[in-house]
Amino acid sequence: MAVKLITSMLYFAAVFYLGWKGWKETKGASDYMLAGRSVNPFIMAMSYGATFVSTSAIIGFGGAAALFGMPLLWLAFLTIFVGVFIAMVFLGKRTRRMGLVLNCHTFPELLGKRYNSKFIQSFSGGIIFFFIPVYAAAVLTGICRMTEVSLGLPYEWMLIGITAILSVYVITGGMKAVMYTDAFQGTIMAAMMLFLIGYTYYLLGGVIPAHETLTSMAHLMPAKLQKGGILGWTQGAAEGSPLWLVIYTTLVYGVGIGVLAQPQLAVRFMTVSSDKELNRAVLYGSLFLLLTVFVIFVVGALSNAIFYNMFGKISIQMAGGNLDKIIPVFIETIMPPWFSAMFLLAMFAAAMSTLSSQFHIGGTSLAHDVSRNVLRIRNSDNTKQINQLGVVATILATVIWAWILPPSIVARATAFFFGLTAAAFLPAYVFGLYWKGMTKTGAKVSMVGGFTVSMLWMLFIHKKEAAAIGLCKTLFGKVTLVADTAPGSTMFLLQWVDPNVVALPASIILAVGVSLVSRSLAKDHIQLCWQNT
Amino acid sequence: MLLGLGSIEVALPYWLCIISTIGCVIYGVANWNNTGTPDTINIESIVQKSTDN
Repeated sequence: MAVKLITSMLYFAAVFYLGWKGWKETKGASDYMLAGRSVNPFIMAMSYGATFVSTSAIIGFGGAAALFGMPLLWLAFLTIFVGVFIAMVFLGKRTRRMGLVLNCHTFPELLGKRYNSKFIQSFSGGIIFFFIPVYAAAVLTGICRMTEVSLGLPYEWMLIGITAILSVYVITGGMKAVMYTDAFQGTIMAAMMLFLIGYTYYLLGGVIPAHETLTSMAHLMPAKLQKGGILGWTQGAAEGSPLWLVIYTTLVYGVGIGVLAQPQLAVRFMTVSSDKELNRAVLYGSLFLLLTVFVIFVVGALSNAIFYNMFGKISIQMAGGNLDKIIPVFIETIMPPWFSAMFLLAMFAAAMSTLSSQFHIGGTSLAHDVSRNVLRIRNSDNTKQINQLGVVATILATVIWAWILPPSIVARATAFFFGLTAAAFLPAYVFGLYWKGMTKTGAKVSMVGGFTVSMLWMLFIHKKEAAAIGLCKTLFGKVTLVADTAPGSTMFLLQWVDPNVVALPASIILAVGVSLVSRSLAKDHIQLCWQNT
Repeated sequence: MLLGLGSIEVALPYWLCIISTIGCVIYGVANWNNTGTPDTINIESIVQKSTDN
């Protein structure tokens, strides 16, 4: 316990120092929103990665890999290839160039100015401000529950304490404080994960023997999962089975593609000064994601082999049936004692780096994109202060959600946010960067249409969200609209199909279809947008 | 090639993770100093302008 407290104190001292450094270097609105557009590539890449990978990703996805096995590695591959390479090389460079020429400070402002539409800026800012606190609440409650178990401190204290610490540096230091602390936190995460995978393979006698042990355990896969289609931890799932759909649509397609349209990630492309920084960030970012996402999937799956060798039980049995406890139990019982203290810090780091960016993007969306357009607040001397008020509002909303929402809804919040942003933003964003023919009406219809389809799918068809929210049950008396169709039929299986499988194509079709028949933007405007690409 | 894993469905993404990371590292090193076409806008002027706001 003493070791845990001392390392925690040192960690928080370093975070405060970096927050203070960020605050000291922040002079005006551009520093506050975009860190002065001159961030070092290492800091940018680590901040990008650490924002993307939260505690819930490590604990939740690690637990999911322990349950479903290694097909989840497709998600790790997509995160590296799509989330880093495609994102930085194909979207990042152009986002930076177009953002610069249009003098944008936020993701909604980029969309708004690209399509010359205040509605688009306010609508996207509104989605972000309204839904990011729910996503942030999921991250916040996750780390609070973990520290409640690990340090024995009351949940409510942790909730207030962590929020207070984050508030101090995000509100005062803006983007610089957020990115400096992210980079530090990302480095801790990467170092801990490197040790974690090394030690896990060491305990099982090396890479290939470890995999072989797990492969030979296929018959131990719980009967319920076998019935759902899982063949084994290293064997994958039977094609077309319900669990195959869960793995490939929700985790792989939903989250893997969803990463491209995350506003809190996309805004980071505008914080660097040239393509050179983005090229270097590809190197750092890919290594970071390999060390975090890939490692946790491999370790999560291999935890079964280690637990079975030592205790004769598989991971989910060791964790008393709770998926979210698998990784914490593994760390506490298998890893050396000093590591559990350090791992707790890494989890603090993962949560805080994600939360700080969520607070920052929620705040700037409200202040810069919504209130300026809706309330018609003009650019003035106090732009920075208005942004700070926006951050305060986001933090308050997050704490309220974390306090009042039932845990089942909070647990679905991440997928909910990823689903909505992908359907609402992805076509408008990607076509906005690459297709001169995309029109203002096309973008509006695609955003509103994609958002609506995604929302309806989650409320009435996709079982996980529909059951957690309960609106369908209240209105129609059944968990989902297709719940009473023949089990095994196509309609029945729709309950496991991720919203993005339906909403994203709908949003793309609307974007292209409407753009082809609606009035194009003025030639001068298009020329201006493409002037620096 | 399968590294002791039970199927290609699993071994393939395992390899792809490693190969794509190596690819990203090579890309980063090869383009370490590649700034692309110079910006038509001077960043400092923009930053200065918004700082003055």
